[in-house]
Amino acid sequence: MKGIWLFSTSISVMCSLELVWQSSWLLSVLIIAITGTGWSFVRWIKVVIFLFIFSGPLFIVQWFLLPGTDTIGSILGTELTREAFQLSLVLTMRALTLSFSSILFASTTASRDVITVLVHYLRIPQRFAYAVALALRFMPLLVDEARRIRAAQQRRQLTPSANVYIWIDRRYNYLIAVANSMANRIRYIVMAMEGKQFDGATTRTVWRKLDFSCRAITMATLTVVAMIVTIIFG
Amino acid sequence: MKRRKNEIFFLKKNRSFCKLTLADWVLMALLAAANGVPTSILSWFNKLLHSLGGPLLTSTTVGLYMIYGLLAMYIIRKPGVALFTYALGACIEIVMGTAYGPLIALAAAMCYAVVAELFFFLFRYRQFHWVAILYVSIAMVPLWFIVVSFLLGYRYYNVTIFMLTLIIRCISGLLLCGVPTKIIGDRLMVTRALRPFVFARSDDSPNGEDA
Repeated sequence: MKGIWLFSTSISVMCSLELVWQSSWLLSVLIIAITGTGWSFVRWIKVVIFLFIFSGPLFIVQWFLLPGTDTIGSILGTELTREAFQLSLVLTMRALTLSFSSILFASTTASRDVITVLVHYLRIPQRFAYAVALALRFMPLLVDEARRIRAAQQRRQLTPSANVYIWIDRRYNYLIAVANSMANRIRYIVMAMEGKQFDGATTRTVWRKLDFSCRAITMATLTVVAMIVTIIFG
Repeated sequence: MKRRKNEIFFLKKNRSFCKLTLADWVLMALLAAANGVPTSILSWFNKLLHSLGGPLLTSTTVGLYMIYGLLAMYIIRKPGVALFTYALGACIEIVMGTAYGPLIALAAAMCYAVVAELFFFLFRYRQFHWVAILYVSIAMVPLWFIVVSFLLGYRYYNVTIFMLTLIIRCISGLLLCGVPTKIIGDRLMVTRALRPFVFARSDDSPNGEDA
């Protein structure tokens, strides 16, 4: 249901360039975040600062760069127009809605729920869904391994080089080391999976099931309806 | 002409060539995972670049988003590899949280995948030399640029900025995707760590046919 909400929100804000629609969608995302996430005050402050760091300068830069005819002022020889102001505001709101909804989804959804939905409800091919599961499972391991390789390389190269070519070469060496370690890991994973007859059957039993509450279904339906309304009238 | 017919026959009849093995899937998954974390962070950095320098500055990092699919194709060399790898990468990005939203992540992945698959099909999955890789890395840019100009509003900028953005994206695709893909792939080839893949048994491999 959260996926439906996320995609509907994204499609809606992409379809409209009206200030009213954009602000309505941003407001709806904010209301959902306030009522549904249960974030602490400190976390809210962090998120707001984080989003403002991106959206504030974005709005100003776009106002300077976007074209327009109705001049309302001038700064450093650049004409500031009313059309550019409106369009910049709309595009900034769109960016904010996309970013914020994505943060909400990522921070409130367990990755195993995403896999269950892919396999059980969306009927995505098993191999693809399990590849997603595998990627998610091995992400922390890869990050840890990359960190260890970097630490080892830093200890060997006691003084950092100012030469750009050496710096690039060292970055490549680092990437190669990580990729090589990853390739070795692939061999072990494949051997283990083949040993467990991963390819033995075309279908798999999925024990985990998701319960969708009436509230969630209503919310998803309302979002889809709102998306259709935005596409038609926005 | 006869060679072309033989190669089409090879693609149609040799199922083992077209079928993705478990090792292929694991490699694609791990490349998508290896790309998922950096691109998820990079998307926020890109947002900041967009704030500071508009579409010109944000376009400089485009190549980094494309590298994993091309690298997977370079190593595995089978039909559908780019499509599945980019799709996996998009899924990971969505789960990790991206600054541009799920629609952009999926659309970008599909645009890159379509172009990469098309060109490697035209190359019959056999041309993986420098020119082919660099050509594909540049060719992947324009389709996504056209789509993104509608989705993110680049089309509202004037023609000079629009064209400069496209040129910067092409250069970024070349330098940050094509060149690293070839270099990383070739250096990996020497290590013999990727022996289960077509790449290690190809003609350009120093390991030769029996690797």
